[in-house]
Amino acid sequence: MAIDETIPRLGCGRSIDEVWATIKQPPTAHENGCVQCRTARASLAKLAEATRTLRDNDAVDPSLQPRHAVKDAIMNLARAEVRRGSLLPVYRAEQGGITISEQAITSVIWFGADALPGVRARRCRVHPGPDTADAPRSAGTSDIAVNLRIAVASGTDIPGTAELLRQRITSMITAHVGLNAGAINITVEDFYDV
Amino acid sequence: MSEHPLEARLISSHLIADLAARTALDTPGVLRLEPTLKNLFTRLGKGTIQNLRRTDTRTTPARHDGVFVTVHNGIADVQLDIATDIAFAALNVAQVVREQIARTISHTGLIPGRIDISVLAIEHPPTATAARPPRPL
Amino acid sequence: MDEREPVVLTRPDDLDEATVVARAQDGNLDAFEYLVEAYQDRLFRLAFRMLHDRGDAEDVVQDTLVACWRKLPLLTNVQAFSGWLYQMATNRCLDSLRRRSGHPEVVQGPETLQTTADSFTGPGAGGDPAREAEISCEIDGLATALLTLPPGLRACWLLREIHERSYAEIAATLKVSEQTVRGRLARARAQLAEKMSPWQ
Repeated sequence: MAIDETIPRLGCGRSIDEVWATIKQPPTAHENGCVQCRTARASLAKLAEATRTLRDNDAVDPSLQPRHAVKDAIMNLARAEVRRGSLLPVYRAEQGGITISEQAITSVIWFGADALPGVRARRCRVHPGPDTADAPRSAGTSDIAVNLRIAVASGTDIPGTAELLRQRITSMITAHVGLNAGAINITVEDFYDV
Repeated sequence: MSEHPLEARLISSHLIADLAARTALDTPGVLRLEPTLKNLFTRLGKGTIQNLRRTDTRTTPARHDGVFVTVHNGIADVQLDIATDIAFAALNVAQVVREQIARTISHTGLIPGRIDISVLAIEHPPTATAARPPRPL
Repeated sequence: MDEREPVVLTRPDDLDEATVVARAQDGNLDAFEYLVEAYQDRLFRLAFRMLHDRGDAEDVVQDTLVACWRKLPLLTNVQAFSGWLYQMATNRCLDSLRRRSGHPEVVQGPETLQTTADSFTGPGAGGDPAREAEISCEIDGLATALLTLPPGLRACWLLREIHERSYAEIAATLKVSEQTVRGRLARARAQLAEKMSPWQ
């Protein structure tokens, strides 16, 4: 790997990196007097200019975009392999029953959290509540437990916001899922700037 | 049942799948049936869609997108995957769907067997803005 | 097929990227679609300048984003998302070049040069045909020189100079030290500068 780390040098002993680093500054006394440095500076400056042109041009060049079919193929596959999380048993009758996907409950929780200023709900896990995990009641609803990770706006009152969020999640789960939320664990994992 | 053995045999699992799908879609709060390849794979092991079409055994399973029906000995089992409208409580919607499907099956002369409902998604209806008021069930 | 226009959640454009990534990790398709839209063009540009073939570049974009969907739940640090995506795309480009290595590198032919020149609508030209010609000549000169670099150098140079990735991230992507990245960059610059205007 030694050769990989070698930085090319000009005949006068200066490295390309040194010339490159000061390319935007006026030439030094040595650079003014050294033919090799002058040539290298000129050609590196030309490269820098071309690099900028390539970067700016490519970024807006419509011919340098993938066809729509590429995104369609990606999204079709993602839909076909969509992840719903686990299916939580929430009702059991004599024959058959009802399950609700973790993802369906998660989106209700995100929806509830999004309405609170200063909160961005991230990853969410939903489990059957501890008393019903083994055997869902023969007829009736079972409780669920929620683990939610969030980011909060810097300067947010965390305990107050977490309490509001808990209440919100509880009422959202009752109204939109039809279940009773038990433990709601909230972890603040990040701050974001407003 | 035994009085109409011929009739019962005429009622295919495809018809039940059709009826179950229609019954579900007519239930307030059901946005759509939710087909995913993954559901199919987990339920049928390694079978592909083509394999499924060839698995025409005596139990004759029928699959609509989001509905899976088997009929045997005059009993119809239904598995249905749905997305519900967030304006409704998903569990209530699913319960109504179960009851309605059981009733619909009874009307055909078959016996409703196992009826499993999975709510895979809870969403706003596609065209709705936040303005749509919740309708009570 | 199914018209999926949920307004359930805050639109991904109004969230920070880390939150969008976290929601995609939990299977939210709208969040994932947002990420696809945010990154597909960038990844395509990287792959196209690496491979100089539209079809191959599209394959890299598709493979990368499909792998992204499948592996997303395993990503532990949401902040590392873009670096992780660039890493997958770069490795796929290098694999693609390795598979090709039996065949000699095809350097840009006149036909593609023309296409690039025709499609040019970049900033700074201001409808001045002389300046436009100059710019497209500049771009083609650099793009052609780029294809003569060994793949490792080319990847280094593109990631740093065009995509502005950090030295640490490029080092992790290419599984080399930061010192090696600096060395490769210097050599890439020297070779490119020399190709474009020979200095000896």
